[in-house]
Amino acid sequence: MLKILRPINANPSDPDLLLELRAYRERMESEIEQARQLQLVLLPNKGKLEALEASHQLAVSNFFQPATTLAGDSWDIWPLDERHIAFYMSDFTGHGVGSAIQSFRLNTLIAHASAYYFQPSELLGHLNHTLKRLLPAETFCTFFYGILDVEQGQLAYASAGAPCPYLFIHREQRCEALQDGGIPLGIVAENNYVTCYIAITQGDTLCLYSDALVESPSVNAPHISEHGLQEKLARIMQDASVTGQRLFMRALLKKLHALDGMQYEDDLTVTLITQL
Amino acid sequence: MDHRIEKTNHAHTVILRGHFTFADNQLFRQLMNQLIEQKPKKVVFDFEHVTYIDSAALGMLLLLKERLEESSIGLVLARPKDHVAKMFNISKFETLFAIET
Repeated sequence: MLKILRPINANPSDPDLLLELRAYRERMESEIEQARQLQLVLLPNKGKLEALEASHQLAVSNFFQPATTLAGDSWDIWPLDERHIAFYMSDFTGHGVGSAIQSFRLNTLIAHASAYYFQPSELLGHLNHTLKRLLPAETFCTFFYGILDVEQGQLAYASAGAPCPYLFIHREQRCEALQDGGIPLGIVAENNYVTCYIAITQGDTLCLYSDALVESPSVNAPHISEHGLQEKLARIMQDASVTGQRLFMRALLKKLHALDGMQYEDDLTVTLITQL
Repeated sequence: MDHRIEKTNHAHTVILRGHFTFADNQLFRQLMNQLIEQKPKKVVFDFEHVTYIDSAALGMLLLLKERLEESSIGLVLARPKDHVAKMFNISKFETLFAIET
C-alpha cells in the first residue's frame, strides 16, 4: 500500500514518501491523459466531417474545449442514409472525470439505439428511461438531437433541457430560436419529449452550443445572455465580409471572447451546420 | 456560497447568498443531512441572493428533493431571480419543484 494512504502523521519530508507521491501523480496524469485521448476519439474527426460534407452537401465545424482535461460535453454527427444525417449534443451535470464517464456511457447507449434514430422524441424517451435507471439522483443530462433531411430541406428535432439552438435563415437574414423541449434526461421516469420540425434551405446555418457559452461566469469576459448570443450570431452571419463557415465559427468565438485564451468554468462545445 | 437558517414552527428557511456551484457540494450535503436530522415540516430554500447557479448545483437540488421526500419533509424553492430563474426554467424545474416567486 502507498505510504500516502498510511497514517496521516507520516513525515512530509520523507524522501520515499515524496517519491511515491510523485509516482502516484504521474500515474494519475497518465491515466487521465489516456481517458482524454479516448474521449477525443469518440468526437467526429476532420475526415468524418469532410466525408459528410461531400455526401450530404453540408458544411460542419466544431469547437470543443473541456473545462478540465476531461469533459461532460459530447456531440456526434453521422449519416442515416443518402439524404438524412443525425446529430446530437449532450452535457452532463458537472465536468471532469465523473461527467466524462457518464458521457462515455451515453455514447454507448446511443450507438445501441439505432431503432429510434428516425424518431427524435422516441430516442430521447428511450435514453431518458435508461438513464433514469442508471444515474444517481444528482446527475442529469441535457440533450439535443436532430435529423436533417437534405433533400426535403427539413430538420426534425427534440430537446431535453438543452440550451436553445439558433437557426440563421439565410434568405431572411435573421436568427430563429428553436423551441426548447422537455426535462433533461435522467430526472423523471415519465417522457414528455416532442419532435418539432422546421424548414432548412440552402445557406441556412444551425448553431448548437453547450451552456458554458452563455452561462459560465468569467473574470475575462462579460456575461452573454442567450438573446445576446442570438444577436451576435445574426450580425456575424449578415456580415458579407465573413464568408465560409469556418470563418463564421472563428468570428463567432472571437466575438464571444472564446478565442482570447479564456478558460471557461464549464466544458464548451459549439457546432455549426450549414446546408450548402 | 454562504447560507444561514431561520427556523419557525412551520418551516426552516435556508437563505443562500452568492454563487451556488459544484464547489459547494460538501457543504450542501452537510446542510441536507442536518435538515433531515432536524425533521422540520417544510424546508424553504431562498434564492433571492443567489446570483449564479451551475448544473451541478441543480443536481444537488434534485438529490435534496429525493432525500427530503423520503423523510416526508416538504420543499419549496423561493424567489429565484435572473440567472437562477433562467436555469430553473431551462431545466423545467417548475414541473419538478414547488417554486414560489
